[in-house]
Amino acid sequence: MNVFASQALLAVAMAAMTAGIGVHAADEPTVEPGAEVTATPAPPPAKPINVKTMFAMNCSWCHDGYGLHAGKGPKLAGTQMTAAQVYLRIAKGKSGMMPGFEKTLSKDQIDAFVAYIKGLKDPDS
Amino acid sequence: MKRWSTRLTGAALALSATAMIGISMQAGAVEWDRLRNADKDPNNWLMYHGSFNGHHYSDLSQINAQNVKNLQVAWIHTPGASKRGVQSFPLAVDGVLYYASASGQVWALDGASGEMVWKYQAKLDQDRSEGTFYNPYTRGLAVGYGNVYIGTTDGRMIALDMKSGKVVWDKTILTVEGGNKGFTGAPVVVKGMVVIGSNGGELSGCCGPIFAVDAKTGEVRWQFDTIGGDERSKASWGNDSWKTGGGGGWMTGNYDESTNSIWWGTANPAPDYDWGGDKWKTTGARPGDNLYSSSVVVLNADTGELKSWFQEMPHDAWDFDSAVGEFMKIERNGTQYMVHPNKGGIIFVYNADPANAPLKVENAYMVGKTFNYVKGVDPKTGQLMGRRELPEGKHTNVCPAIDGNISWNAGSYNPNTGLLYKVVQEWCFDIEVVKADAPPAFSGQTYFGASWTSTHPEGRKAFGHVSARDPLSGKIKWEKEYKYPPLASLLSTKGNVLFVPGADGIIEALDTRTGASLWRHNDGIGHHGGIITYTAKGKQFVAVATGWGSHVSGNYCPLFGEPFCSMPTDNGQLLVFALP
Ligand code: HEC
Repeated sequence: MNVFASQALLAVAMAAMTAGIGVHAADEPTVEPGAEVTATPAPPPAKPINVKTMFAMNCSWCHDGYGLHAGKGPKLAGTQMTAAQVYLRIAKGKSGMMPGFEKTLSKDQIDAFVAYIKGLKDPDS
Repeated sequence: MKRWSTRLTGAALALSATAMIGISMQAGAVEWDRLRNADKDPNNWLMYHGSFNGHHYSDLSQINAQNVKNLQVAWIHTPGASKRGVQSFPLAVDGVLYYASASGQVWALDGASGEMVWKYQAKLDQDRSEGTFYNPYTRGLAVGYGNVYIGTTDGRMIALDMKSGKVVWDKTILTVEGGNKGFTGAPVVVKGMVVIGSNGGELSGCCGPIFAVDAKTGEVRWQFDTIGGDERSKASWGNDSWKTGGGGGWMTGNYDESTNSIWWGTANPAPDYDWGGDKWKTTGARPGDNLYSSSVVVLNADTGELKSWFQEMPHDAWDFDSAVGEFMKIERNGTQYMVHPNKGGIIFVYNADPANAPLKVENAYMVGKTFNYVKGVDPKTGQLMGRRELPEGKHTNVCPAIDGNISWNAGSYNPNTGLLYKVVQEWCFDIEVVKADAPPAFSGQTYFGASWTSTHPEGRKAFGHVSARDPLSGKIKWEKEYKYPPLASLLSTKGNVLFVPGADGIIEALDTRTGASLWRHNDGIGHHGGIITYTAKGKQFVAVATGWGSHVSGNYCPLFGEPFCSMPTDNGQLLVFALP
């Protein structure tokens, strides 16, 4: 994948934030995570990143409701972390709490998570 | 004590330290004869489930319903940082306590005073050890043939000299290529072998194996693949999906000498949650029954060959696997039964004769109160009735949540009262099931297909209960509700005491006959580990593991708030109680 994808996702996230799409429903992520984000034009053909599926596959064991609610891990919506910190946390994990994903997720996939998480509106605020 | 080991005595004499000599001189070898008769040896706690009866019961009665109110802390051991708490069961052998804390630490302590005898720290492959979510906890040890055995989260089995803590052998059993699984459950020693099951129900690697390694050398004697190991299993996974099917046997099973059989419960299939819904026989991520996931398997102890099985959750759609829970052997009116609970809150009563294949179900009953994932279980056949499938899409108020009505904490059967004591937890979740992409076969990557939020049962707050029942009929004698479901194992004794280590840090002693509360003590942090009793220098002690941070305990902050939101998850101790 490539930077276009994460940029595109970020754009979707920002648009959603400003438009307030779905923010009223506490159980709905701000960014519709099912939205497949493909870069156009996409230089190398790659599988589109679907954050929702990726979240369900990798994070949901610990982070509830696509990151909108506290579960075994904290609520991700409204995180105080910067994008760079979020990237690092996903890549490296935290000993005894969260596995690192740098071996199983690509940089683009982690970027997509960062954009998604930073784009989540805190349902409790 | 049965036997004196010359090696032990010699080494003990060489020691200059004070208290250590007394301990070492007492330590007898734990040979097979001692292990198979562990139920007749209440002074010691020789294996995870106490004895091959699997009762988590002790014949000791110095501490009893009359005097338990005087119980007080005798000593405390603090292992230092123990990520996700201390989840393990201590073992007690001839006055020495052995226990494991997180990240491969093993401690040997004087059972009467808590003084350290030795400590061992396994050097773990950190990447591997913390790369999956089953880390870095360990749930216990086994002893036998002069060694203490531990399985590690990076897939090794290690034997330590019981007396010195020195490594006798250290073998890699599970590799990254082999599915990236590891060991979190306690091993059990059976006839010169150490038997252990792997974790990894949610990892896309076959074959969820259960191993027997030689107790003296660590060489693998046999391996049983819980999935994909035989044609019957393969045929029950459409599209060869067993290759990404998870499996495992993450908790400690049992051995039944009367039939020379290993009884083991197996983990859920991967992916956890299958979008196929009620068409699961033909479609979805893993079409078919998915044998032998979420099953009980009965193996020839010498060869690991499958003698019999029963799949408690055909095509497990809820992660209600059978790996949790004890195998309690109970005899009544000349018939031998094996009683086994699973995460779905069903207690299966099997005929213990594995000549029946699949196993003969003598009874099955539900112990949850708020469940709605099935309508019930057929007591005659053990088949689920009225399944609630979870196809792709949103589902609200599914009960219980992924954590189950029953977790991996063991119950207790008391032969004096004839009652089975068991904790049940009651909460639910809203879940959305998605079509997950299958990771590469055998890759060991996480294979999950859902996102969820824990919720309270309809009309009331999440809660727990401890019940006392006839284990065979399920008939309730008494029941006590808990605001916070206990997550630790139970212990009952001949002194008519039932110990319930609570989630909020309170350990409570109940009267086994009535459930009346006899004693409470605040241990300062939640419990979700083991509890045993033993004697040292002629005195009865009760040892309990404390510490919080297991996956199931992670629900308590969102469900209940404090004290759980402020409870540390990298801590824990071993607390030991005695009468003054
Ligand atoms: C095994 C459980 C587990 C899994 C799986 C997991 N996490 Fe975490 N995560 C945690 C825990 C626990 C914390 C809190 C760590 C702490 O206290 O600093 C955390 C923290 C985080 C944080 C920091 C939040 C903050 O504001 O401090 C981010 C971001 C995060 N996780 C993202 C993810 C993503 C994305 C995934 C999936 C790719 C994931 N996590 C998978 C358990 C998990």
